[in-house]
Amino acid sequence: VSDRGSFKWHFFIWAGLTIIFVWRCDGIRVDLSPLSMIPVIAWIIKDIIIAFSVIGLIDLIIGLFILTCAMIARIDQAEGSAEKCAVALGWWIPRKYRGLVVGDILEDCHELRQGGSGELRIYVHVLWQWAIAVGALLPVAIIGTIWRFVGEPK
Amino acid sequence: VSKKKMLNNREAVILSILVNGERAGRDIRNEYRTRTEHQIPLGSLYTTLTRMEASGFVTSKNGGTTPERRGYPRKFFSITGVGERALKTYQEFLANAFGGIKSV
Repeated sequence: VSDRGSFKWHFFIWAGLTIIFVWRCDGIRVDLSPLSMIPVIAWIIKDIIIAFSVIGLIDLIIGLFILTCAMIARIDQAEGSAEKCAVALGWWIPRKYRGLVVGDILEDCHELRQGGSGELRIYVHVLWQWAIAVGALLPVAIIGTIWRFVGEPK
Repeated sequence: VSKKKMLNNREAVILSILVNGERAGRDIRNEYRTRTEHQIPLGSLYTTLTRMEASGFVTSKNGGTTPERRGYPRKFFSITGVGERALKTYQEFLANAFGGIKSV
């Protein structure tokens, strides 16, 4: 398969997956729950497999950019949508901490809104807190689960 | 307090906040920011608090919720005797380490 032919297929695959993703988003405006992320994950896996070729890397970068644009375009700027986003994203936080972190983020949203912050500013706060929470808590939960099964090292 | 149970700076600040009474996670985060002028993200805070609870420095209990939290519960943390001793040891360590130094 030539680079041009390969690129054509990459284009159709990620364009199709992006459309599916954005279509899924439409249901509750912003839906980043695991089900909605399946096409994105599939698309990323596909690109990792072909990442050894330069065209695959370019495809990955362009695809991520367009996907981000698509997400931003779908973000509902109406009041309260940042909270919906926080709840939807909560799926990615381990169950043990989910209620605490999502609850705290929701309180932050309320406080920021009271302080006159715009919806986009609140979104940024939600995404920042969520990203760090997933990055910090998911490894802890995974390691904890492994230790529970195999026994913690002495 | 054994060497292994020596507090790090973040843990020491959290315990010094809890000395004044029990606090919810978000309140600890806010007071930490006020005291140190440094941000501590919620994810990092709960990781630290979980580790501190496993070490016996703090205990936690579930609390109620508020309308802003939309039903998601709060958790209140309070300092234990082990935590108080660890904080005292930490203060003594700082006093011994830096007490004799002229101001720079």
